[in-house]
Amino acid sequence: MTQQKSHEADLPRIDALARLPIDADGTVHLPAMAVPVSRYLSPEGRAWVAEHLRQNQTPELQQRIDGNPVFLEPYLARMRELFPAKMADTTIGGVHVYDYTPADGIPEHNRNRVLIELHAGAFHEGWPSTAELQSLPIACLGRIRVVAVNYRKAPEHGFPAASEDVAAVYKELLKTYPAENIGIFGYSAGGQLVAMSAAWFQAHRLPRPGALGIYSAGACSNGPGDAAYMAAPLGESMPPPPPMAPGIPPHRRPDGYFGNADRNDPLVEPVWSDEVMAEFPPTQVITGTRHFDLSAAVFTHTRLVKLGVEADLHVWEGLFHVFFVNPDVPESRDAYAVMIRFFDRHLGQ
Amino acid sequence: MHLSRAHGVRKAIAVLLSALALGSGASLAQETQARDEIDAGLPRAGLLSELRIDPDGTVHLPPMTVPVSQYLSPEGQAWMALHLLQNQDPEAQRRVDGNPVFLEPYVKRQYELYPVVRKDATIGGVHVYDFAPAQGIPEKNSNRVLIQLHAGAFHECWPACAEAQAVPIAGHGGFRVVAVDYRMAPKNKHPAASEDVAAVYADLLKTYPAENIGIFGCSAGGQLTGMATAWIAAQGLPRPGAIGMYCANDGLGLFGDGSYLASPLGEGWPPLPLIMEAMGAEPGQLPEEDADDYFYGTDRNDPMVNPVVSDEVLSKFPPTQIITGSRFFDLSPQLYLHSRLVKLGVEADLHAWEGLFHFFFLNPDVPESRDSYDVTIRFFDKYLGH
Repeated sequence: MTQQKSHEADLPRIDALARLPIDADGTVHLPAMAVPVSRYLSPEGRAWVAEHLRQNQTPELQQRIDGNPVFLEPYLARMRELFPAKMADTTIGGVHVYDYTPADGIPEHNRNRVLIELHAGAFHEGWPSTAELQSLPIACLGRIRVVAVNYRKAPEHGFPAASEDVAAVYKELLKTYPAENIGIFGYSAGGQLVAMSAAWFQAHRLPRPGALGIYSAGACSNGPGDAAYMAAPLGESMPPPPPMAPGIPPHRRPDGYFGNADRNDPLVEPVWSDEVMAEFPPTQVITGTRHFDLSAAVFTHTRLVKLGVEADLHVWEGLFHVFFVNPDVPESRDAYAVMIRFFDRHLGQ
Repeated sequence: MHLSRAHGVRKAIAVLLSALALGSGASLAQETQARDEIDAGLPRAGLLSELRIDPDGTVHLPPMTVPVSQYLSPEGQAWMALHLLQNQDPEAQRRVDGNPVFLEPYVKRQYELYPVVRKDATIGGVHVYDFAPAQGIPEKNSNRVLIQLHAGAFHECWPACAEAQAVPIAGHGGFRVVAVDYRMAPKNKHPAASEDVAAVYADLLKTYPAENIGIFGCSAGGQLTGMATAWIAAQGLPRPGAIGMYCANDGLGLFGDGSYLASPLGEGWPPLPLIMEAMGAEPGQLPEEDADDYFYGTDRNDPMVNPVVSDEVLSKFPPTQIITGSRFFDLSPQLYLHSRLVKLGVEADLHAWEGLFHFFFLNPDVPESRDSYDVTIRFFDKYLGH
């Protein structure tokens, strides 16, 4: 018989007064420590975290071929095997898209629904690999049409080119679908672009879409929160910010997509505007304890909840930013089910 | 914990901290590099100056200096800092009749801000505080009741932990809230507390339909909420309408990410697994059990102790709300519980506060605490029958 203790459920203890050094402003000085992969994960999930960390330190796997990271290739091959979909390489509203339909057809209840997918890649790369990686499982398992948008990116383009492209696709789809039957989702940069697009539609008097999925991202860039210290080192082996860093200014490279855009502009970071966020449709947020977006994502969820928006949060213990690119991990399959159920619940028919 | 045990822990932590201090500092400069940005991108080609990783995925973190999260309100930032300092103040941590001294001003503020009528009563043979809003229970809640289970590691904190959580929900939410003075260690062991909750619940069932009764609690009270829900089902009683498992640990004895980082950042404790090792545990394991412990002699694979181990038990849970945060030492178990509930098709509602700690909402003068009361109240309003 295994036994357990209740020490974990304790309040701050009188008997643990030998503590870490704390500054008057609440800064905590953490010692060096070795942190193993979370034991809450499935065996496949644990192996995937270790593999991902290794991949991050293997230069040849981090190489890009036409803007697509080499390490993604085997997962893409598996996605194509597991989730066959018909893909039309086409344009919608003058914008280049991959238009996916499940190989076994679209069932009646999804016939009048469509999802717009916005790919990852830090607003400067990732097409089409990251678009395929996210579109294939959702199109096939969800049995729904998915339109992946090849929006304009840096360095050739800057804000708001991507928002304009999403709006152009959306406007064209509105000719065929009611707004409440259209969902928009994306991860990483694509997740932030989902939120930016919802704000952009408001500013341009487009009707609000039926539901949003902001995955491995928040409605803002990744700012100075706990994730920079906890999640980024454990999920990506990124060094933490140096002591006394006054925060991490995101996207400030002169050639970056956001250039000199104002991060307080709700079209760039909607999370700072209650007025804009209050008008969001039902929104799902997915992140994890080793997602470097953790702080931005849970903060976004908290704000949406406060403003009365239907907001659905999922945080995966022990897993990292966009872990679900690997379909052979049970936690990834669970994530696809969570996404599909959300859109099925909230989109009109 | 007993004094002898407490002394042992203190000594172990002191030894541990001095060992850590010897090993830290030297490598900081090489291991942390100034970075221009964390962008919303994939792992970057230009960023191969990483931390040391073992083949099994263990990450070697350098010493870190971690400021309070900038996502918090000014009051939230001040509260985080104050809490860390209170944790190191022996006077604040002193117990009076099993209630920590630091809680007193917050309990007082709760009563000031959220006027309630409190009756000292017995329900189903169990001692309770029976709270109602001072202005009376509004019509829509007149046929509803919430059972509140207090924090305190199954051995202390009645009534302060009950009041700190029950008063805002009764006074602000307009609910009748019955806070249960359940039996605790060291005098009592599992399943005494579950029996007491079930006795109160069974008595309330004479007046309220099951779907109009909610159960909630924080910390040990959150854990007990899940245990009592499993216990109630095993007794053949109808299931409650909704439950709130807040800041709740499980008894799986697993160390997740929260054990390493959330507990040091939220409480100023050395990482929990290192404390356990200093107390003589094998790496990744818990130390020997204490005969005074509430769970002494129980089996962690028993769903009455740990409902999360049983899909069968968990899949019968009513709508369940989970509240945790990036500095809650319960972060990993709470997230795992949520993902299991979701997978099993249970209506599960997760809220995770950036930058805040276990039971932060005991302080009502912080905007994030007030937001959490609304989250609790809205959840029970949505899922309880009328």
